[in-house]
Amino acid sequence: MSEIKYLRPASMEEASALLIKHGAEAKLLAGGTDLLLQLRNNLIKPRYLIDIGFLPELSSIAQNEDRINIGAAVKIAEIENSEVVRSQLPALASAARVLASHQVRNLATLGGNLCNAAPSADTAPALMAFGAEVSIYSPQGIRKMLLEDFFAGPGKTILKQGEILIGVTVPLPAQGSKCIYLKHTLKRSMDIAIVGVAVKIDWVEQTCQNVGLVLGAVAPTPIRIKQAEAMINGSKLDQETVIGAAEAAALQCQPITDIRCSGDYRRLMVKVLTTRALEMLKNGVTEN
Amino acid sequence: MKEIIRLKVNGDDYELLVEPELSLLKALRDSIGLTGAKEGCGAGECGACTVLVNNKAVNSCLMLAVQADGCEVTTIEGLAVDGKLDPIQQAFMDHGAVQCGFCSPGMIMTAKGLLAEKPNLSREQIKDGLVGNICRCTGYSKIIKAVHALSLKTSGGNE
Repeated sequence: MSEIKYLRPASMEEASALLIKHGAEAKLLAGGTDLLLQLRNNLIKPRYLIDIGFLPELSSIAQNEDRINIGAAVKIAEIENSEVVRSQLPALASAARVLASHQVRNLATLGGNLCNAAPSADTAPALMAFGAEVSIYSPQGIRKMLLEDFFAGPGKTILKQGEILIGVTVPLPAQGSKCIYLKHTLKRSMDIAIVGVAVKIDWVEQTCQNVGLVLGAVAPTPIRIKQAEAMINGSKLDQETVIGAAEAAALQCQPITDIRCSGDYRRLMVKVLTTRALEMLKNGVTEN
Repeated sequence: MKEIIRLKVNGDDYELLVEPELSLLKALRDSIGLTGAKEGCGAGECGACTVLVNNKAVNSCLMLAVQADGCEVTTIEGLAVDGKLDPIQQAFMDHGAVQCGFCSPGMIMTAKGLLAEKPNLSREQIKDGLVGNICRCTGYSKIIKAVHALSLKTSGGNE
């Protein structure tokens, strides 16, 4: 006899109420591509699965005036193929495109990728480089924060009991803004990043402004390298600046050694990929 | 606690009583008897379980049957119409893209999903589209050739 009960609430209020009622015995389900594996490997033992994957409040991509809202239950495949994302946030579309496989992307959600909070989460670096904010639902109301403050550690977010990620809001990049996401993997594909680099630069009269430079997979959470950003801001991205920024990024990260590769290798790849990303942006290349 | 789900599989209506943790894959294979989709890894890595849900290729091992309530599912068994093979199946045969056949249902369903979204695919796009499908036998080249040939045929020979 199954111990698990499957619930499909009709609204955020109902979902949150169920989450609070059942506490640690409940898990939220959307795409299920991470959750089901954890369940099968007995890493989690929920008695209630609360399916929020069908809630309309969480399922749209919309451009409003000066921002783009992406709901937590939006599939990675939808982000990959969205005209709005491809034209306004191309590095996010690139990130979506290299996440797992076609089949996984048709199930996996943005909210799942962010709330699972793997340090290597593919959607995080580009979103952080764009200055994205998250919206969080709680019975007390909706609170917002920068995505860069959402992650607390490997597999951990700041979400409290009963809180549900609603989605992300990305400020519309300025005219002349360019961005890129580079993902280094052991195999061609179907692999998590061993290093991820996202860079966003607003070009104003051939000078860099509002730089976002984010590393994934080389720290307990995705991290912004503010020292590197400060070096690049105000510069014309000359060779010296590129070298300095790449070195700052390599110094600031805290990569681990694991079964995939050594920390030293990751640190070296941070330098290589940061240099490559900056040079590609300088040359107007935004596709890897 | 079991749930009743209602779904269409290969055009037929089904009503099933399932445990919540039953995967769509197991529901298709054990409850309905459609054993074309295979459990190669049970973790969404190998693609042998790929079916179409509402016309999108997914790993059925990573979906719960309860999530497929109200959906339209297409498996490999649903491709041929009145004994006439789907063009993808014909292309796999014509190009010798099947050896042991274990990966084939998943490969074909993924290809179907890819071509439904974009009928005109380059070799590189096909390779990218099939990264979630592992084959132990063929070395992939005839599979890619089969899908590419079909893509060229559909687009009138213009690459």
